[in-house]
Amino acid sequence: MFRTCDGVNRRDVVRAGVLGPMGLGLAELFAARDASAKSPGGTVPPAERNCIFIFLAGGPSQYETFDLKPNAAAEIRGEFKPIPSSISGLDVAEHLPKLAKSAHRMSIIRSLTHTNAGHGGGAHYMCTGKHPTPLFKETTTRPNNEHPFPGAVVTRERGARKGIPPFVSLPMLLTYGGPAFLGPEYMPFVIESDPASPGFSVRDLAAAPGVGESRAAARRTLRGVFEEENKAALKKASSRVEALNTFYQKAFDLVTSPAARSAFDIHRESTAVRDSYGRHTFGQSLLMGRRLIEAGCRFVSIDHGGWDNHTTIFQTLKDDLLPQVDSGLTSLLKDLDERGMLDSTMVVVMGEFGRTSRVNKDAGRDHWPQSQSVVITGGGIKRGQVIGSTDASGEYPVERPVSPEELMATIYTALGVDYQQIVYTPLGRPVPIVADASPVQELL
Amino acid sequence: MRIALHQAVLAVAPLMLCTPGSAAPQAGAAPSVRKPTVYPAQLKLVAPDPTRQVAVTAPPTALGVEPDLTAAVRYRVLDPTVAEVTAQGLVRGLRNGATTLEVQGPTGAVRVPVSVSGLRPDRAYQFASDIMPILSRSGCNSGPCHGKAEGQGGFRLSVFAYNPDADFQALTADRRGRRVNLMEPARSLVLLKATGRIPHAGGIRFREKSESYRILSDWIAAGCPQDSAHTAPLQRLSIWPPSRTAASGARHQVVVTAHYADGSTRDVTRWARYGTNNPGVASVDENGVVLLEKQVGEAAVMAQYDGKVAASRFAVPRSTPPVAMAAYPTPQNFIDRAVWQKLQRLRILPSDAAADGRFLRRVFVDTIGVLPTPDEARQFLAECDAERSRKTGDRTPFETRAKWVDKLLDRPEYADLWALKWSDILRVNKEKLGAKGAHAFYSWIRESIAANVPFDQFVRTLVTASGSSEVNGAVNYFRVVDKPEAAASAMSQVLLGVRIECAQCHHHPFEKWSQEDFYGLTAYFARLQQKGISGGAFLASAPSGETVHPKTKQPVAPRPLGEQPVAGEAEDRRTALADWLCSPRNPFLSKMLANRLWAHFMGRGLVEPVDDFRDTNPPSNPELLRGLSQYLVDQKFDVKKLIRTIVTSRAYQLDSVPNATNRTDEQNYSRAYPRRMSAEVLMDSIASATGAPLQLPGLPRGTRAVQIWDSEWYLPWQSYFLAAFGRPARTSPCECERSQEPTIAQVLHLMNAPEIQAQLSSRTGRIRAQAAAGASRDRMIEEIFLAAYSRRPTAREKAAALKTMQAPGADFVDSAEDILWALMNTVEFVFVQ
Repeated sequence: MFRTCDGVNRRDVVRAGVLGPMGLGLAELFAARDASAKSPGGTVPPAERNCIFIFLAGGPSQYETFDLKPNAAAEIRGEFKPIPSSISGLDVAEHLPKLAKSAHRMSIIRSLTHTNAGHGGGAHYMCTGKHPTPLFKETTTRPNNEHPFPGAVVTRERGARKGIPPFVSLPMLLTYGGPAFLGPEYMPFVIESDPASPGFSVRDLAAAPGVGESRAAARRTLRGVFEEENKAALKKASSRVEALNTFYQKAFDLVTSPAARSAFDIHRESTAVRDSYGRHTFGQSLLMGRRLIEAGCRFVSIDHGGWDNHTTIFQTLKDDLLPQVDSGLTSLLKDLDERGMLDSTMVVVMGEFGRTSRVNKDAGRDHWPQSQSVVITGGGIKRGQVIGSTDASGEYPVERPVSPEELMATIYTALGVDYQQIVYTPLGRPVPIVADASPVQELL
Repeated sequence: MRIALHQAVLAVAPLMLCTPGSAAPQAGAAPSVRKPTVYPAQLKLVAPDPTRQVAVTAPPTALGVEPDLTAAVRYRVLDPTVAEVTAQGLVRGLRNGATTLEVQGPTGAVRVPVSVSGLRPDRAYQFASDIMPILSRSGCNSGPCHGKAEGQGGFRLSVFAYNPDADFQALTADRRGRRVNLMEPARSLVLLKATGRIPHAGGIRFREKSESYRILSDWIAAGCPQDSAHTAPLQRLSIWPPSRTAASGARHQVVVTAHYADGSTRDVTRWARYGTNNPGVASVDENGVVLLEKQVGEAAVMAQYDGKVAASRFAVPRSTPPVAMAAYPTPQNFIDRAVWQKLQRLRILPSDAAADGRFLRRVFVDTIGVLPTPDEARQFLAECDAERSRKTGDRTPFETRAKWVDKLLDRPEYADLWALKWSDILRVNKEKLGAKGAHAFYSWIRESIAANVPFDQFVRTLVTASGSSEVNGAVNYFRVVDKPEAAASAMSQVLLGVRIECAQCHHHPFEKWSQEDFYGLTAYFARLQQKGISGGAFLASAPSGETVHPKTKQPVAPRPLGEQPVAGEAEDRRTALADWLCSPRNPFLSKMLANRLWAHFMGRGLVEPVDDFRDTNPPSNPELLRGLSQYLVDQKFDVKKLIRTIVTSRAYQLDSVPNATNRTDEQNYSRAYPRRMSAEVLMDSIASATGAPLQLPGLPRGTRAVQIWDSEWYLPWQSYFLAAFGRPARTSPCECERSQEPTIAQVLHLMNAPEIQAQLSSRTGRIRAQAAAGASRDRMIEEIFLAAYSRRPTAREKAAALKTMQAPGADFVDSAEDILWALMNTVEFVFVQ
């Protein structure tokens, strides 16, 4: 269970797995060194682009990842040393060695900035591009967003490709990853199961234990007979009845669709591939994300907690969190690239905020929304870019500050969604999907 | 009103007859009924806005609709120097004097006297009366544009023009007045932007040739006068016609008139904002032209102008001859009379009465939240058959049904279901209140309902609750809404059915509610003080403490919503609030409760959403809402009595299967609207059908899902199920927090959840118990159908079930499980029909 400092007890159903063996492929060692920044594939139409949205809940430190300040005073710069990456001029933390070599596959925004230092408010702002209203309350409820998460908006805009849910949350729902007032029909399909566990299977996708496949098929046929008896009478009796029948059809498609069953069956991946992502919840969630996108899913959200490092930040990051990101994210980008999927698949990695410049008395860092580093790439986003910079102590942007609205406008634009369109809240208040922002053109 | 007009027009002579047109097909009808009528009957065009829209109506057709001819007739002003008229019937005075407007229709002509007065050459346009309506109508001050709190592009207007002084300032003075150019009005930023001459994110709002442009430009040229002192306040708005029966596909002009305190009127048809509450039936354009769509039904057309609202009701009947009331079934009570009257207007006939089993299942689930057992169903069906065999004519067994309703209302499960409903709305939440507080609050609610405490007394106890939250469970409500503002907005939404929270920050965009109204309610709670005590709080009213208006910084006196402050100060201000709320004359409480109860049983509120009463969201059947709320008042807020009246009405007992006339009807109660069972009731229904009671860890044995008093109570499987089926987290006072929408996760879960399979195959469950008792195949199938559907199988269903059980190698128990599984995954199981 992760517990953020606000005392919000997150009902995590999976725990971060322990680190698996770190396979380091040869290709990876040699791939990156002198690769030049690749331009995004302009051939994939925006409407066909997908997204893997990775949320590092708690607020990852910029000082220990992508915005190191080696020349700052010791209490600011911390313990980690910078190492060069495959993007010239971008140094990253020494505990991200694989990602350093793969950095040309991504871009970094170093100047993401806002002012909400609360976990709930900050996460809501980052995940939706809308600052919560004064009525917002942080609760244990998931989802708890007032404004729609992009996965729900994309689902509403585009619908599903055949046989696979358009929007999936791994391994669980993001706290601010729901449809809000767009309505529950745009809820993600939530896995709620740890893809790193040996017996991993998706809830309710296969018939209950003890009910064999042929018996399940016979049951569905019998249900069809009974439904038919009622259907003639109830045809058009209610839109909800129609909707339920549609969902039954979709559910049947899902449970009988080879694409979905195979996408969710992570055991089909080779040991080498599974190892390369890392045998932990995060790595295997990323791998599952790639499988789902490959099978036709449009939007995958991935929740990864543990980043609220008020204490022992260096040890936690070095021993646990950074190695997970290093193996998982590096393998994901490489895998997508080698499969020719990076042009059509956006990957974005963020938290609710960055962390304070001064290391506190518990060897931790506290909340700091004014600067944060965000990874963004693929799906129409330029690679190899470093957007913005922060001051000498890493506290404030000095070049190209980027707001959560601008980040979200960038994401929507690359995905071909009109982010200025007006949607209506239950009170009838008209709101744009993202207000008053332009995309970061340097990334498009 | 229409009769008076008709007579006024009759007085106009002479009458010119033309060839009969399609608009008035009754050949041979008396000439006097074939003339169109013109509204208004006299045109008094008075400065400063000497303009009136006319509306021309043909006499009723054989099908009883009144076609609009406004855009189909030809207009002529006899003295064109006095007034001019457009092809759409907009008449404008040109000089003081009198003339006649001639309206030439396909079947005849009428003449309307015209007088023009008050025109002065020096009259200038004024801000509030002339300019603000342009800003509103052009959408400048709407929520997504300059009306949002932070404005747009540096230009900020009050949303929907609630603050004219600030808007005047914004338009004329901010940014050193560059939005208006007094020397060269055409170079004013506001005109350049609005006409798209320079880039405008909001697009082109009006053209240079438009009236809006001309007025704005003249106003700027005149030096942007603000307002003259003698402007009389606007008192009310009226709309013509107040109601109209129209054909689908037709267009109808409405005329909107503003009435001022000095008795003067102004035609504001061109300046009002319009909307309808039922876009499937009608839409309306910016000139007040209503377009009736394909769907049969009723729609209210709303006009708003300067903070006032008026509504007109348009009925689009089926295009068949009128139906006599004799064609409708005998009413059981006043509910049926009101429903039938509405249906008769639309020429819709109600569906047949629901079959006995379907009624039984519906009334059980709706009233007490449980499925009938197979034995109860058998007994009920037998009693119904017995009553039917005694009767002739309409043989619906109403007496048996009423007898069973009385039994239901006495069962303890009644309190469980309704305590759950009110615990949602009042937000019983362990996270906020702690386990002790939440339980005390829930227990107070449940005990009040079990004792059938009159609802007004329940409300009084709630809003005046004081003391220890452990001793007085109701005190916990003020720990949920622990700030005066939260208490006011929740109280308004929950008990008045009025969503007033918009008015905390700005004037309500669709309504008359202002910040004064919001803070007037807030002031009732300004003096509440809470002291933390172990396990809860102690609540008391302090002798002082004021609500301060955020703009004026002045203290606000407590004020009942929509009324004047009451003189005198109570020891606890909430006593005065309760006196107002619980008075039989309170305009909100009985309507709110009647509407919530009606929506619960009928699947749709007369006002929908159920807690959104406003003039711009009128009830679909006002007479019925009035009847229900008056009944509540007459019966001293006896909730069980109203429930009994609703469920014993014929309207409630209609079948959900549509007939040829009511297939598209989704708001007039001509048939039952299927509703998905709520999460808790569905979970209990699965337990009931399978005969495998829930095992709820940490709760007493035998507890049903409906009885889980805290929405955050964590249960390993049940919490997933309940969340998936839309159980609310109780973070909002809105009933809408409970979702009825189907999702794919629900479907997958019902199909494949191991927990449900375990209930199906439970060793002590229904199927194995029947098998152990030596049930035959026939008996097993009947038992399963009665358990799941509360009815016996049809011949086809029985054949399919038998086939499953008789298939080669079929196991008796397994195949029975398969039948029950299949039934539990049908719409008929998941929905109440």
